[in-house]
Amino acid sequence: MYIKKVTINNYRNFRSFVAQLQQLTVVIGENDTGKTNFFTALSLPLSGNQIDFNHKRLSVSDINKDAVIDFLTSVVNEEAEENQLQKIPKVSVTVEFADPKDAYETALLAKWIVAGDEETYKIRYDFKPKSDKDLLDLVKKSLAGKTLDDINWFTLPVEIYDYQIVSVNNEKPIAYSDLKHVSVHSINAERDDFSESSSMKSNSIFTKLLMNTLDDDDKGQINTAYSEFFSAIEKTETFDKVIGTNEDFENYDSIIKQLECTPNLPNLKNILSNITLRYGNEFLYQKGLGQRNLIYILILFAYYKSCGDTFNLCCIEEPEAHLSVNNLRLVRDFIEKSSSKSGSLVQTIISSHNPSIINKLKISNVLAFTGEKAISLSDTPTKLVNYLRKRPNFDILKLLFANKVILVEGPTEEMLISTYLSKQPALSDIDIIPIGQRGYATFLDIWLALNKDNQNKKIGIIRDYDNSDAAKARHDAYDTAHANVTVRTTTNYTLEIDLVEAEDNLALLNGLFKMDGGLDEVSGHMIDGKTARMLDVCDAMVDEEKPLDIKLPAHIAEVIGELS
Amino acid sequence: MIEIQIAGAGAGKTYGLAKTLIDHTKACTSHKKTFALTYTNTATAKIEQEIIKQHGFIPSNLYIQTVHSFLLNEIIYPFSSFTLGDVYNDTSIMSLPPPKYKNSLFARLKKMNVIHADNVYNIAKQIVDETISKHSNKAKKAKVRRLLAILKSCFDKIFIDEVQDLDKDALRFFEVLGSNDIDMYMIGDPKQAIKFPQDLDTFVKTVAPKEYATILPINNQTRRVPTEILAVSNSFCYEEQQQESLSEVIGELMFIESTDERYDKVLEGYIATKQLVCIEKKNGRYTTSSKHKQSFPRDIEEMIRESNHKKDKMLFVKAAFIDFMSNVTEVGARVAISRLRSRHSLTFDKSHFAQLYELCDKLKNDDVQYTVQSIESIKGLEAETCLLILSPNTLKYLTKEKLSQASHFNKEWKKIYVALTRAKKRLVLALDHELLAGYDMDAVRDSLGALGFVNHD
Repeated sequence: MYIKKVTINNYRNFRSFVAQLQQLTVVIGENDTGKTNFFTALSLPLSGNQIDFNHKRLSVSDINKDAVIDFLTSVVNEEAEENQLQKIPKVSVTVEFADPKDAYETALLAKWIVAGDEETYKIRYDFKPKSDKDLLDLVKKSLAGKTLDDINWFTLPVEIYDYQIVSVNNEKPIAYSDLKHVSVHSINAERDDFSESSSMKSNSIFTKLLMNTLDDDDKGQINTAYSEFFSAIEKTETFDKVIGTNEDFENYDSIIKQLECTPNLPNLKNILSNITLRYGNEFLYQKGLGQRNLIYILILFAYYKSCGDTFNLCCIEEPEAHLSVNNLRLVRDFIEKSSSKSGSLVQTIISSHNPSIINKLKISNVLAFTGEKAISLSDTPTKLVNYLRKRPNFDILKLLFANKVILVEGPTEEMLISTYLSKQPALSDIDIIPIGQRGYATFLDIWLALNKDNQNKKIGIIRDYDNSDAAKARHDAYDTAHANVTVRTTTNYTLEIDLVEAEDNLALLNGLFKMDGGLDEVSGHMIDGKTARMLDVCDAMVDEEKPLDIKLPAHIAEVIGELS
Repeated sequence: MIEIQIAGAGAGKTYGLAKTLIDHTKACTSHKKTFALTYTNTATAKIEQEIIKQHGFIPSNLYIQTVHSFLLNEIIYPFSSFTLGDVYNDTSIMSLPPPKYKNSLFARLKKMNVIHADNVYNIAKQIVDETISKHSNKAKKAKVRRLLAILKSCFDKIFIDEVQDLDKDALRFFEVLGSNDIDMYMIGDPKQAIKFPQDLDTFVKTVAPKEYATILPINNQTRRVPTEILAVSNSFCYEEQQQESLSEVIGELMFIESTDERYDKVLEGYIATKQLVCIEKKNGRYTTSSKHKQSFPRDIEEMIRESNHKKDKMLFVKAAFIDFMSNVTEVGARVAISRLRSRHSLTFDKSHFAQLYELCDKLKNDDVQYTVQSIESIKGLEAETCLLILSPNTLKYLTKEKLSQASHFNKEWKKIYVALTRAKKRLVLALDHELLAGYDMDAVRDSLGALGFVNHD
């Protein structure tokens, strides 16, 4: 089973938001698109996050500001009461489970069944006024005689709000005994304090891990040892020494004799919480940030495995944080293996800004946040998925999110265009990505999935003709269909020929290579010399004393023209 | 698979059931829940106590609850929207209007997503029974079947105590589950079927030939009832269900008359020592307290719930009802209603007033000297002594004088059997001359004497 769909209304930046999830989901997006808010929203309808303390009761700042302002405005404008009531900002987060794998999972979800084309199981978190009418009356009173300029969104009286988690099929609050079987654990991005101090969080996770795994005999042994610890304290008779006797008072001794040292927190959980972790010869909290992060993530997955009878949604923000190259690879492989092997009661969501994590954990698992929407890339063709897994360092984020990006076939194009752009300060916002293969269509499809109607984002494609009219036509179709896509192809077989052909380039290049050839010889010389020749050209273009004024071939110039 | 065990009064059903439950839950290794269902909360508590006595604690995979609570929480609330398309999320026990207005009340409640307690069995049956007309097409039947598959993932086995208290809808509900691979164990006594006198008998006849049902040999032994009392009670048993006593106690059959000066002392003595003192239904100076079973009519309750207060809604309604009840007894219906109205600033229409006055009538208990138990409420209980206050009707059945054949094994008949089989030692009949006004007491004494009853010592 897994959470297939999440619907969020009026929570923080989400006015009305839908996201599709998978067993493993990699959330990507630019800054401030709501990745962290998405994680906290997910924790609302699910049972207690035993690791991070979790507030289900929201504050006014958690309610979508636009929704609040719309409501307050409708009150100030004295709209019909019906409208006002309808605009009362209410937060809701609905999660939809699907695909129970066996009888146990079916039993976990059964009571939340919702009939539909596909059978799903829905629960919903609500944060709303106990009484709509009361809220409206209260707000009306406080806004009486005020104008739009006077009002502040944070004046919404959330103290008369309440939260509940209901089963969608009957709107009935869900009993804790049922909800406790679906839980969420988040490792947030601000986890640097995980093992910061002696009161560190690593203890609490480790304590819970121990509680889950120790059997009764082990627990018995620990309890015995703990009592012995107190007997040892008693045996030192320090206690008597400290209190002593007092002959001035009658009965003093007989009263004092009754006093004894005893454990004040006799339950096992409290005993175990006094453990701190050591790594090698140091306390864990003395280790470096990256090392601590690594251990944190490893321990957490061990913990999830120990909660065998509960569905666990495991959310990790930026697992790459602070990790060195080697540890990053370790964590990446660990997450990949853990999530694929931990059975269907664990669902993992991670957010990341690291291309290698995204590519390795499969682009088809990606959920891309654009600010307004979350776009699932689950339909990405297997070919591209496999390509990216083989090229983990391919800058997928740049492809998806850069405002202006040009895709080229290989390093020769990249060098030439980069060199040209570096000479034009106005064009420094264009990113170039060599994709190392010829088929652009899959890249364009995935780019369009995110940026289709966003005219602030532009993409250019620079391709070689390679004597294929069919391929050219296929790519040109994208140019025709989308205003923000520009596709240009060399007139000749390949880039070098077009370059030599452009304006005075033949003469300039003959000079550079100390040749005296025609189009064929010079371009042939460049093609044979591959990237080394292009590097010579680029160096010459940026020569400090006598820069070579090489002109771009028309197809490249046009793409740059469209993007700038 | 359905197993049906018929066992008479005092056969040790609770003890045996508790033992079976403990053994079953011990052997059960899956996540699935085992349920032990009873008709009343009292019976639920009794099984819980018995299990704690035998086992020390209630196993975590065992859920002991009333049939109603099971049907509501495990079936109706979660699944009525799935197979019926109706949403229910609350229940009402408000008193029902005359039959011809019943359906419109049910419809009104349904609009508020409320199910009336009287409808629980029927709706539960509709949810799982694909043969009813509501599930008319293939798609609907498929949903019912899917639901049954889901339930199979959730339930391990369902044990039902006092199965004779279920009506035919409830029995059909459990039959559907049982015939769909959910194990079912039913134990009960058709001789004690007071509410639905014929339903269990009919059910047993219907399922007996089915391959998914096993009727276990009838248990006719009783540990509780002494032979001397059986001599009377066996005349209320079916031929093949005549009981034999395992009790070593010598039973006592007695009667006491209200003309006897010790009458009040004897009654008070039995009540004070927590013996069972019962009557068929409230009559004369004897009442059977059932105030807690009343509540405000649903829409008035709704009005109070939503009235302008800042307190917990459930508690607030309960408090309002308690206040109302004590007002009714202290200052009478009219004032109580008007206080209720002004206290919560409610607006009542004619029908509201009518409903409230009707409620007040039920709450009133004038000239009451004894609060005793109804025969219905002592089902399943036992004591050293059981005292039955005779009403003309009870007397008629007890002596079987002028009793038509059609009245055999009906509700009243079975009530007598229940009352007769509560005592471990002494069965006392109370003859209140006021209740039996018009009877020839000498003749009454004679016929009771013929049954073996002697004057109270």
